Amino acid sequence: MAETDDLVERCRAGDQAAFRELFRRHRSDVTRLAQRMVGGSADLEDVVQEVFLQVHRSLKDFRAEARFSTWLYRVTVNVVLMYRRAARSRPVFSEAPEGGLPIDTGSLPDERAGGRARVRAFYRLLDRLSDKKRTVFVLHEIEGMAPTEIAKVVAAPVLTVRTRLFYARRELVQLLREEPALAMLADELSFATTGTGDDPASGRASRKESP
Amino acid sequence: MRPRGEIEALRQVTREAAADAPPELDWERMEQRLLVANDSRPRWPSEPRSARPALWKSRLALAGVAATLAVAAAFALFGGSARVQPVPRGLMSALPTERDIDGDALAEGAVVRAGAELVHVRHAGRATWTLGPGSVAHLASRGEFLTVALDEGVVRSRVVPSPRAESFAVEVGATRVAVHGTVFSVRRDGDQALVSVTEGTVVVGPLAVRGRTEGFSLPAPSSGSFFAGGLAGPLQGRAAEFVAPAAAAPSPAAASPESPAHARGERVPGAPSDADLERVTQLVADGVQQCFSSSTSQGGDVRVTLRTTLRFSVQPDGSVVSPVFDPPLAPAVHSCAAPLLADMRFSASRRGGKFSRKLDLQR
Repeated sequence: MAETDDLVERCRAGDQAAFRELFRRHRSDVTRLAQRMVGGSADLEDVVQEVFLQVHRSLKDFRAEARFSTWLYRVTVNVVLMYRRAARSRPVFSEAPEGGLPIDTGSLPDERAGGRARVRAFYRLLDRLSDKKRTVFVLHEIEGMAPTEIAKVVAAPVLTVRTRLFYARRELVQLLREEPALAMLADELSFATTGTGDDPASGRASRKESP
Repeated sequence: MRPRGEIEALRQVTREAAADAPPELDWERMEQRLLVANDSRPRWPSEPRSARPALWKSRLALAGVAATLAVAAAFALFGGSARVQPVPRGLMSALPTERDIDGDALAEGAVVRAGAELVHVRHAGRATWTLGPGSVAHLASRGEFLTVALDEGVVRSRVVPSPRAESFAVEVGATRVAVHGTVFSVRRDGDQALVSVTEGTVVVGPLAVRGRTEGFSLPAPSSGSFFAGGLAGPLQGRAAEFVAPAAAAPSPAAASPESPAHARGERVPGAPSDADLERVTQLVADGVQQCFSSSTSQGGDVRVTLRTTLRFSVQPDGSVVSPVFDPPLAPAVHSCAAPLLADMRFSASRRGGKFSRKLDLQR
């Protein structure tokens, strides 16, 4: 923590070596969040680069009472939202980039393929949420941030963050069946829970009969 | 009834997404580009550091030099050679500070100076020109032909596409760089005009034939240095001068980026940019629409609409494989459109990608 503060101070003083070190320490975090916010877009590198350019330019505005990581997340979120706004004004292409998603080496090939398809579908659903709802969902559910910290990142009251989270989850659940890969997963999980492959009503009946 | 399966599925796929490791980007190159910000030499950060270090010290007049660059934005429909290098977004912001000026509030002759900062001059709906650090320019004309005279340094311009030829121009001494919609930068270097085209295509020619320019063609991404023997004199130039100094061919063909972008020391994006995709597929879409109109029989007042999707894969070298229409087009329309598909080509990228574009064809 103190080390980061020292780096920040040196960056503010124009020390390029310090900025390089700051970049190296935080580039993976920024990339991970940016990827989750933009959904594996091919422009990820541009987004990450823009984040650090903004950091370089705005470090003078960073106040030491806030955590640097929180401030960095805030910058990242803002850059991603700007990027998305700009992207919305461009023509839409459906893209399936080769090698765009990391390889999960812990599963069988068909499971890997299924997992990738599900994650892609998941990002398509996320893409349909409003910016505000998607941001808090990604920060909380995927990044694991507490609502109090998210509130600082998005500059909103904690209650607002919780409300957005609630509606984001609800909307995703409602949309989920529109993605075949996720609908199939829902069916499988429903089957595993209820012990039948039928509708949830029959599932409830079978649970009642269980001891 | 609670959608238990959906809730569980959402939980699981969220966990799967969270388990994804972030991709490894080209950190070294990004780091180098970020640190360009510390270089006080007035140049665009995307330019090679080693390129022409002494250029900026020259303040020689450009008397006797005349050239005109005009955008050939309506380049041949089936040319297929146009490439778009993504604009290095945000690079300008690497420099310490920036300043915005309302260009429409400037009087003709107003001088704009950039100190250590970038200065963006915006003319609503027409163009934005940005002066690099240490550069000086003045507004030569704010009328029908919006004209900026570059007195020193470098100016980068983003021009709103216009049906008028030469709706915007940058003058460097007697050199004129005129466009009607593209992104380009002009640097003054003694008796030469150094031009770098990021989007679109420019043609360099003598000032005497303003509006009907003939001469060197510079398709993006390419650069060139030009000088002429007089206001209407013959133009001399070397394309790709400061992008690839070794390639000194006195032909505009040298600027045509047949070599991989990374071989020319340029930034290679991960995948074709949206602008690149839009431009190339729009050419195809327009051509297919023409094929559809001409190859299908007329049915009086009956309006026929066909919706299809063009799917294709782009290789890292920019070539296109397996372009197909889904659903397929009628044989006659497909035969007509085949040359368009064969000519599709994108800027080089690291991994290419698979893309699709919906087409609504109407007759």
